[in-house]
Order: sequence, then C-alpha cells, then structure tokens
Amino acid sequence: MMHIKRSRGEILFNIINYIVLTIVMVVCLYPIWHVLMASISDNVEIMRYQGILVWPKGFDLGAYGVVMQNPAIVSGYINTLFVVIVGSALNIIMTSLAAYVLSRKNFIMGKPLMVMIVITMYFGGGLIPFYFTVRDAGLDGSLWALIVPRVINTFYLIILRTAFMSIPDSLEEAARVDGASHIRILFNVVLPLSMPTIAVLILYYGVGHWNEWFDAMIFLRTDRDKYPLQLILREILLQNTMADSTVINTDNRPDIGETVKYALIIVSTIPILCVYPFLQKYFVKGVMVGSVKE
Amino acid sequence: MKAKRMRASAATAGALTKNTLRSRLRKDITRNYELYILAIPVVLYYLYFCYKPMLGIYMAFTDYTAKGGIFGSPFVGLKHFKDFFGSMYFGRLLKNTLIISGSSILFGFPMPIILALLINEVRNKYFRKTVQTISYLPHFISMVVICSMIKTFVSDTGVVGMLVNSITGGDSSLLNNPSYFVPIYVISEIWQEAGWGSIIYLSALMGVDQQLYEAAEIDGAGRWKQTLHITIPGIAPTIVVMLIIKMGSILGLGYEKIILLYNEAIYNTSDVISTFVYRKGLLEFDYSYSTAVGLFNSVVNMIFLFGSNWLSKRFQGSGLW
Amino acid sequence: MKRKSLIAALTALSLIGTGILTGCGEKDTDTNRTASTEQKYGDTYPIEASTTLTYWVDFPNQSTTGVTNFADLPFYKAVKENTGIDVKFTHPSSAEQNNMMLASGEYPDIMEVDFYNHPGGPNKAISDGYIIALNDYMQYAPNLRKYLEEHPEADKMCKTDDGTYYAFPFIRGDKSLIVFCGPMLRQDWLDELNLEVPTTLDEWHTVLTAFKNEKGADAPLSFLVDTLKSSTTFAGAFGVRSGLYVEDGVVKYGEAEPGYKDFIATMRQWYSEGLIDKNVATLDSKILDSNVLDGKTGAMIGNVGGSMGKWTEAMKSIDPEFKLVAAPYPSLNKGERVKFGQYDNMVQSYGSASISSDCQDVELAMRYLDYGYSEEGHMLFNFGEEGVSYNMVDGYPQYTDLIMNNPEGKSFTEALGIYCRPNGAGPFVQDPRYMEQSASLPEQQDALQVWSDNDAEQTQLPRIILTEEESDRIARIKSDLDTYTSEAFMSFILGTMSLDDYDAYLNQLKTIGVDEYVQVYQDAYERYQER
Repeated sequence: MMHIKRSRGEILFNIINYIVLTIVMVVCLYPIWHVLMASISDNVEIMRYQGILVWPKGFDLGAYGVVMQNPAIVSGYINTLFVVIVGSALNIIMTSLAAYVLSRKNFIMGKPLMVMIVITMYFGGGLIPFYFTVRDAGLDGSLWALIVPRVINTFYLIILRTAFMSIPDSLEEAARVDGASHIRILFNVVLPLSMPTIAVLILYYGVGHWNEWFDAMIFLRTDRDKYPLQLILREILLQNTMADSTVINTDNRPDIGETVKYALIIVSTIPILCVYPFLQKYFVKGVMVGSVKE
Repeated sequence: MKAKRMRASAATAGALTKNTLRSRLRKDITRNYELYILAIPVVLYYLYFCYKPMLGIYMAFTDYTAKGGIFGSPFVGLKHFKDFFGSMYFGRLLKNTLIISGSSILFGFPMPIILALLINEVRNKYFRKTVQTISYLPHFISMVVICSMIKTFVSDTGVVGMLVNSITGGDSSLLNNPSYFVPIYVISEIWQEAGWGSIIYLSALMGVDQQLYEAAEIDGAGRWKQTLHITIPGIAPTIVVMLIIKMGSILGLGYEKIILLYNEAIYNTSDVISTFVYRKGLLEFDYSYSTAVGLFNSVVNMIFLFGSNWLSKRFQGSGLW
Repeated sequence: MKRKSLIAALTALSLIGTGILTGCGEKDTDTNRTASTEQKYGDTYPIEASTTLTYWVDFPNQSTTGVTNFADLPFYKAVKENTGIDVKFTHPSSAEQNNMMLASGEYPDIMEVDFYNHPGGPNKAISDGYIIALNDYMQYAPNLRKYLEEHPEADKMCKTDDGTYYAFPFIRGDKSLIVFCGPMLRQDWLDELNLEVPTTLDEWHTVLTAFKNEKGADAPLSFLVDTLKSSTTFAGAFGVRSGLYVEDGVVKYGEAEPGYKDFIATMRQWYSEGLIDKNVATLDSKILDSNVLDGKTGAMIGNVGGSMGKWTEAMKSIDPEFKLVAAPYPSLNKGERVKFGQYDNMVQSYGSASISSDCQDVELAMRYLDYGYSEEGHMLFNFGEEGVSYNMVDGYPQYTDLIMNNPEGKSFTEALGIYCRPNGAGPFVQDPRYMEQSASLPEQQDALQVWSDNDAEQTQLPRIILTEEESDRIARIKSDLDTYTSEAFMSFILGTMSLDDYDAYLNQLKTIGVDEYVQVYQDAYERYQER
C-alpha cells in the first residue's frame, strides 16, 4: 500500500464526494422507506394523506396479517425461488458458453454469429408467434417456460463477451501451450478472471427472474398453483382497477386496503434486496493483476 | 504438439487471406472444431426461440385470426402501416419518442458512470458498500408506486412543485405544463435507474489494472488525471457497448411509465408511439396492427444500432462486432 | 317466424362455409355439431350428463373469498348440484391472458369474454371461428327465450343486426340498476353555510365559491376527467354530452356540437377561479380519495357505492359529521329538464357468456347457461341459498347477517361474492332488490332516484354494432379523434389554448373526419332501429 500526501484539492474533493453520495443515499432510500412506513400505517389515514411520508400515519400491522393469510404467497415464494435458482444457474452456464465462443479472436464465424445474435434483440414476431414456439416445445403450463425460452439474454451476453475480450491474450496462450482444451480454458482461466462481471450477471438474471410476471401470465394461464410471487402481487395491486372498470362497485368499504398493497410490496421485495450485499464480495480489485504475475 | 500445430495453421491462415471463403471456413473448422461444438447449443437456442418466432412478422401484413393462424389469415398488404402512418399524429409521436429517448440517453446515460466513479473514489469500505446497496433500491419499487410519488412531488403542494413554482411563478402541478414533462421523465428515470445501472461499471472498474495507478502515483499524477487517463479508458469498452445498445433501442420506449405520468393537457410533449398504440385499445384484438408498429420500431432501431456501431468502429476502433 | 328460420339457415350456411375454409385444422368440429342438434337431455334440472364443461371467466375477488376457483365457492357448488352439470373453471387474471387464449386457437366450451366489442362485431367473431351463433340451439335455452320474449327491448340488444344471438347476456333487470353515477356534495357543509343542494349552474357556482371562501376548500370541486365526461355532468346543461349520443333519431358527436363550447367555457371559468382542483389534469382516484377525506373537496362526481359509500364509511373515524348528498344533473335555467345523465344500457357486453367453436356438447352448454335465467337460478345468482344467505320475509328476499354483518368481518361485497354473483356481471338477470340492500344508506337510495330524473334514456346510444368494413374505416379516425378532443378539452380548460381557437378546433375535427365517423354510427343506428 502506498501512502501519498494528499493535496488540498483532494481533501476538498473527498468532502464533496461524501456529501454528494450521502444525498444520493437519502434520495434513493426514500421510496422504500415510504412504502415501509405506509405499510405499517392506518389504512384510512393513508388514503387521506398525500405528500412525503417520514413516519407512519397512525400505527397498524394488520396489513401484514392479511398478506400472510393469503395462501398464494407461500406457493408464490416456492415457485419464484425455483425459477430464480435453477433459471439463473442455466443462464450463467449458457451465457458463458456463448460469450466464450463469441469472444475468440481467431474464430471466423464469430462475427457472423454476433450479427445474427444482435438482430434478435430488435426483430421479433411479437407475442403470438413466441407463444406458439414455446407451446410447440411442450413448455406451456410448466415453470420451465419461464426458464428455457429466455436462457440467454443477448444484452447480458454482450456484456460478458466484452469482459472476456478484455482478458489479456497472453493468459490464454499460456494455457494453450499447456495443452488445455477450450472448456478448460473457459472454466479455469476465463471465468475466474471475470468474477466481477459474473457476479453482476447473477444479480441481473436473478433479479430479472424475481421480477418476472409477464411470461408467467402468458404461459401459466391455467395453473394458478404455479404462479410466481410477482404475478400474485400484480394481481392484487391491480385488483381494484379491474373491478372498477367492469362492475358497479356498490360496496361501502374499499375492496383492499392501501396498506395491504404496501405490505405486499415489502414482503415480495425484501428477500431479493438481500442478494446484492452477498455478491459484493466478488467486487474485488486486482484479481487480474495477481494472476498476470503468476 | 497440438497447440503448436494450431498456431502454425493460424499463421498460414493469416497469410492466405486471398483464399476463397469455403477453404477458409474448412480450415477454420479443422482448427476450431471445439468452438464449433460449443457453439451448437447457442445457435440452436437462437434459431428455435428467436428466429422461428421471427417468421411471425408476416402477421403485420395480414388480419390475424386465431383459426387462420399466422400464415392462413387473410393478406391485407400495407393496411396496418397505412393506418399507423396515416394518423395525423404520426409525426408528433415519432418526434416525442425520439426526444424522450434521446434526452434519456443524453442525460441519463452518463449518470451511472459518474456515480460509479464517485463510489470508486470512496476509500472507506463500509461507506462504499452502503452507497452501492442503497443507490439501487428505487429500481425495485413497482412503477405504479414510484409514479404516484413523482406526481405528489411535482404537484402544486409537493416539494419539487413548490420549489419550481416559487421561481417561475406558476401555481399548479408541473405536470400541467408541457415543457416540464421531458425533464420530469428524465430526472425520475435517473433517480430510478442510475444506481442499478452503475453496478455494471463498478464491476468493470474492478478489472482496471492496479499497477497502472501505482505507476501513475509514482509519476505524481493526481486523482483527476488518474481518472481521466487510466480509469475511464479502462472501462471504455463497457461504456461503448452500453451506449451502442441504448442507441439501438431508441424507439423501444415503453408505455407503462408515461401512461402513469402524462395527461391530456401535455400530450403535445408526452404522447409517444407506445402510448398511442396502447390508448388505441386495438391491442385487445388486433395483433396484426401492433406487429406492424413493432416492425417499424425495429427497423428504425436497427438503423440507429448499425449507425452507432459504425461510428464507434470508426472513431474508437471497436464496436459490437 | 319465417324471417327467423331464414336467418338460421343463413347462419348455418355461413358456418359450413367457414368450416370448409378453416377445414385444414386438425379437428373439424362444425360437422360434429350439426350432427348433434338432436336433443339429448331433458328440459328439467338436474340433468344427467357425463360430459364436463370447461368455462373461462374472470374471478376478480379471489383474495377476499379465500378460494381460487369458482368450483370451490358455495355458490357454484349449489349451481352444480341443481343443474347436475360438472364444470371446470379457468380464471384469467388479466386482459392479456384473455387475448392469448383467443389467439391460441384452443378454446374452452364457454367463455365470458366481451365479443360485442370484437372488431367487426359478434358476427365477425363467429365467422373468424371464435364462437358460434346460438340461434340453432335456442330451443335448449327456454328460460332465456322466455325472458327475451317478455322483454323485447332487451331482446333487441342481445342480437346483432341480422338477428344472430351470440351470447348469454348480462341483463340489468331494472332501471334502478342502470343509473349509479352522478354529482354529489357535502351535505354537512351545505347545512353549515345555509345553502340548498344546487340544481342550476349558477347555483353550483355559488355553492363552490362558498366552499372555497367559507370552508377553505383548496379544491372545491374534484373529479376524474373520464367520469366528468362519461357522466355528462355540467355538459348536459348546455344540451350536449361528450362522445356519441342520439337526438330525434340523429346520431351526434358532442365535441362537435355548438353547446360544447359553452360547456368548455364554463369549466375553464371555474378552473381559473380556483373552483376546480388545480391538479385536475393529473388527478387519479387515489388523489381524489385523499382530497375528499382531507376536506379539500366538497363536491365530486362518482358512483353510489365505490365513491359515496366508500367515502362515507372512511370518514366515520375522521369526521362524524361528514355526510354526502346527491345533486340532480344540473340545468342551465331553474326547472329545466336535462336530456343527459349517466345511463348504462340494459344489456351489457361484459359478463356475457358465449359458446366457443370448440365446444363438443353445445346443448349441454346451452342448458347450463340457461339455468341462470330460470326462476331458481335467478334467486341463486342474486341472493344465494335460502336459509343461508337470504330469507324470504313477506315475499321479499332479505340478505341474512352472513352478508349484511359478516361474522368474519368481510364486507358486503366480499361476503356476497361467496354466495352469489349480483355484484359481478354474469350471464343472468340482475335483481333490483339486490341494489336496494346494497346501497343501504338513505342518501344512496336518494342518489339513485335523483340521478335518474332526466331524459338520458332517450339520448343514450343503444348497443349498435358496426360492420367489419365500418370498423376498418373509422379505426384511424377514432384514435385521432379521441386523442385530439381529449387534448383540446384539457388545454381549453387549463387555459393553454385560447377560446378564440375554437373555430380552428372545429375545423380540425372536420379534417380528421368527424363527419364520416358520425355517419358510420348513424348507419349502424338505423340498422339497429330496423331490427
């Protein structure tokens, strides 16, 4: 570690930087704070209030009771966990494979393949043909329909490919001289050196699966017991609007409390928020440097 | 042995660039057969799940009915395109889409990079991790809730609304004023996504060679110079890739957030292609119309994608492919 | 009679035609069906059938009933027992799922899907192969037929121009079920300020000004713009309403009519005086709720239950004095009778059940759906089981405490959703005695009376159906018109567009094609009249 005397400018910069980042934190913490405070407030008070919410309006934990009583929440959790864990694992394997192949410099099919893949980011036949394709693959009505058809996200593939390409050629050459196969180079050289990016992709894919509801809505139409958490959440959040538009609501009481909606958001969001801190340990500087030195 | 032979063949392949495509391909297959095998599952995936459904673009030229299917429904030529282009609002929709998307890129794109750089400068490990974790929280709050917060903030009694009104002398919600819509959209977009977007740059920063910094410090370069000459070039490949991809989705502006924020009084600046199609309500049954609009978007997006890729190659030496 | 059988023959022919055209599909259901028109089941319930029907229907209140499938509701268990027919329900949770099901080409036997709004109308839905015409099978629906024969005005609304029946309709069985929305004010404020319930625009102006000055209301009048337009409040005073309506046999588009300018000018005036919520453009139902509950607003437009009832209930704990009163649709001059008001058609497109082209046992499906229109079915759909959810008191079905004061704390709607279906639309006739007990506050009953006292029935456009060619023609015009008129409306009110530009606005409507638009509806209206 080197210690260099800090200039006055640097000290000033540090102070400003800390202030700026603290403001960023406050601003970014607010939405979830608002939801949390609203979820433990009194329902009528929340209906009545508009503005910034720093502390709860009244205090009532009843909303969490209502959420927990809903049996769909538990099955939703289980389905979501399956899709997040199995789905993300397959995502990472397939994406690494594709990124590795596409990042080889002396592979003449690399460029045509890349163009072919990038085109798919922009051209699609829309929902109906996609639905037929998935149905023809026999995935309709199964949780695999949420995993297999989206096993590679082209955007993430490109990110990973960029990371793979930034690994110095000398490392790969060295492994080649030792007679290593491509598979071995991928697993023993390329992947360990790309852990920060892999960690990001685990997060991106994992969060993507966690928040997914559209595919579930399309492919699990008749199988309510397979609904993931977010689809259940969405159903409840939109419940009032749906009922309002079709039927005269003659009830004298709000259908579902505002506070219940907020509690649901908390219950369905907190677990995934806890993933990132664990992945942060892969964000370590100097991995590359260490291995280059050998 | 094997590796030596391969390198030798790579050298000859380089020398014989005049060779025909076929013989080059044959050589490549013998040299890289392992890569070809590894590519098979990837290619199969893309062919089946991406290219097969792509045939459905044909729907844009038919009146799709379920019993007729994609290829058995009556052919109507350019009817849906005429409907879309024939609207008196087509020009405005295109303009608004480009303005909102363009400003999001112009102002929104640098923000995660700046945030990542600022976080990177923090020496205190715990503070750094806390900022990282907190700054990405807004990404997880559902759009409905975020938008209702935004509306409250910019209303005549909201924090932002009162602040702006006290300067401009206005007296109602900022969302009543057409000229405020784009700033509100872009700034809230930054609020929602900057922290989440910075994660990718933070990870790229980890890959920058630490020896370079040590060398620079010995040379007496200050932090600003280090950032300019080492850090930013170090993450430039990631930045370029992200930018090209963003450029290529310029018409892909979704309707969800805009529907929740806009109102009739400011259609002039806020009505975009996706909201217009959504409001048309034809999505209900008219799959062909939405396919036609989607096809138009794709074509424009592709132009932007290829354009920015070409520019990037020209001025920066590398692109997506 | 002759005409009817001719139509039946024609429909049958067209069905065979589509059968040939789409015959390349794997199963040719059409021939099966024509063969099975022979009666298989008896006319009395329960029916002994081995087939299980599949049924696609919305189930919006799953979380409050505690079950996820209709089959587990006490209500549908009773239906199954009484009809003897086993049904497997599937519940979509969104419009997208409906669309996917329709696009997939594989349909359940019965679908509660809105085919009235299918582009090209129900006939197109039939020729596209989604659903079947029911005319050939109407003998299996004796109860529905009986009702329609007794109510020719409902019959007219249930079929298409050529007389095709395409669905088992949701019918509002009484006028009191047709009107449920209108303007209302805070009775307690009026009393305090010694003001009468306003009936003219001038009186409204006085009351709102008093609310603003005396009660310190920031937003004396609050409403959702969509509700303002659909309810026709205030516009009616100038002899117009937003959107399409009919006057002396002529279809008109309010936004292009002379009175509309005065309506806009009035709203603009009120807005500039601070009588209408400053945030009216961005108002959503959540902000409206908080406006009312926080005492910022003293006058609003809303539904008898979803608004009036909800606010009254919520305010109990905040301000016990709070009381709402319905105001009649205001007129320009005192004592004038207005031509407009919120008015729903008796037959609704939502809640209608159609039989799909994939259905193998049409007779059974017909008989199952027809049950809802039988005497026994009517009581079950509206009140549930006697002795459980209602009791007959002097010939009047009174909901029991299970519904009115649910021991588990469920609200009226929640409890009702378990034992019957009157609060949701469905294939049956809604009973007014349900509303009498649902809108139980005296001011609610009052509101239903007050809001009905106008000529809305005469000006309401009936359930006309456009042909496919007509829908194609106006598709572009309609979306441009909708965007332009709603944008201009709001800009005029907020003052971003000057009223001097009103002629330019009218010219723009012409350029978009408002005349062609109205003409298309005029033609369709005339066809409707000839049914």
